[in-house]
Amino acid sequence: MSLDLHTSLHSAQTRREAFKIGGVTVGLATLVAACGAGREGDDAPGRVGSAPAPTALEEYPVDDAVLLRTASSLEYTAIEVYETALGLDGAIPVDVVPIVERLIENHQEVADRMVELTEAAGGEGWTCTNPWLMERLVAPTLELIQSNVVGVVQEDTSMVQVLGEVVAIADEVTTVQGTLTLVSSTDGLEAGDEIEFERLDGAVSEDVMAFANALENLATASHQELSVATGVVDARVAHLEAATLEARHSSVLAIATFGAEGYISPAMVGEDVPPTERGQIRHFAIESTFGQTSQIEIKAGPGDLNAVRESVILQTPAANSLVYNELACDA
Amino acid sequence: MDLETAEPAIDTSLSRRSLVTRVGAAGLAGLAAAFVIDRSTLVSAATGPDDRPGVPTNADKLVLARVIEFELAASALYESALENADDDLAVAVRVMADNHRSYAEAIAGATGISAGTADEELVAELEPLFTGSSTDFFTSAHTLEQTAVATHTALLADYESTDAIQLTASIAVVEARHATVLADLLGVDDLDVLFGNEESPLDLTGDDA
Repeated sequence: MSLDLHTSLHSAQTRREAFKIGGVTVGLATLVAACGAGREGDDAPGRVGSAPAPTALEEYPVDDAVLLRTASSLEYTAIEVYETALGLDGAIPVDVVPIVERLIENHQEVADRMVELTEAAGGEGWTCTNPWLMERLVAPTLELIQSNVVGVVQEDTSMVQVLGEVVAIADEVTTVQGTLTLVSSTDGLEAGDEIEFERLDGAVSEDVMAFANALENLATASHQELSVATGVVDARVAHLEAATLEARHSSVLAIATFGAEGYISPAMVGEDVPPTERGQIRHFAIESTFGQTSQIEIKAGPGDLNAVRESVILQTPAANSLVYNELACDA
Repeated sequence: MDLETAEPAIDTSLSRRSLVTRVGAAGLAGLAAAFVIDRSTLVSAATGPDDRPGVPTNADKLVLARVIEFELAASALYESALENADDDLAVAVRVMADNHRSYAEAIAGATGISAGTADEELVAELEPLFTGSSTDFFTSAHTLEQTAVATHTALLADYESTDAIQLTASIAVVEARHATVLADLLGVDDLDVLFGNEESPLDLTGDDA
């Protein structure tokens, strides 16, 4: 029998059959491959390009000791801030100094309790500040608070733009926000030069009090969250005791700052909450119906050339700011 | 030469679109799954041990029913004090009354228990003080808030569910703030009083609570 290849390959019916056979073959091959043994290939997702393989990050467990170490780190951070503030001339109003000294004592007591509970939970007590918060929050905020007001000399070198106004350069410059005292030399000034003024009277103190209040609110919110997160009953109660104590701290600071106007946030009765004359965000003894764990905002430092002040956001501990068991105080 | 393969061409085109759609959908589903996994990890860390019940247990509900009565009584007491409050004070008193009612309602929402009945005995006991002189009002209201904080703190050890713990913690911190404001209204400047709490918790777990 002779096979007429030419005729066969040009037959439409044969092409369809060829497609069918090809499809069945591929399907069977896939099935066989799927059922085959020894398929333990690389499970990693496919990569495009020739970038170096990423290094897998270490996964550190978050246990009760980590939560308690984080809690004591917050207490030591608060102590550090208060001790720094007490060392700044006039940053804490004289009548508030005894309150701040008491706050330091209270934070130390809470820290000691957290360390005790950490050790009971099988961890090593953390007796220093929170490194992440110190580096990312506390140090930059304290630097901002202590920084001078910066103005830029204009084309007319007798004038300076400062806090959103253009005013004549003098030892004392009057702006809408108050009088600024020049601290830079004015010799040989050229357009674009920066000159500095001391912050407005009382501005450093206002920022320090706002920061202190925000830290107390942060500590309150953190302990409130930790009371839910922990699996240790003693720690749960200790966190709530700390949360209520630090809520009282925050309330006392709000009242010390604003008097009776610091009792209740106007927002609770549907009114706007205006900032202070210097643009600082007001915080009150009672700001919400339930304890809030959302972020806390304050302003820190002087306004820029356009009188815009920098915001500082405080957030309860998360993956970055937890004090893992692998960390050491002296590291 | 017959190159007419219109029907398969249409099928192929559809298949490619379908394939792209399916691959895209699979990719998005994978991405969504990744987010879900991440989120569940975070939620787990924030809501406590995995073996803890989420919603209030029957044991929790028994206690929380008493807490509702207590919070409604506190709200009723502040409502009664509103009659004597001047405009400035009325704002604070109104906020405290509303807050306590909100606590009762939130617990009712979490437990399914009706927030309908205040602890009438407590209202009857304290109402003369809440409607008396300013000093009587501030003193008794401060004591009430301190007692509330002490009670919630003591109960926290007994609760079995995450909802009960979470709700209680968020209530207690604001009641501590109420207490501080009331102490200031009372003219207290003793830091031991402002930062301390000498009140004993109410026994809301016992039969004679």
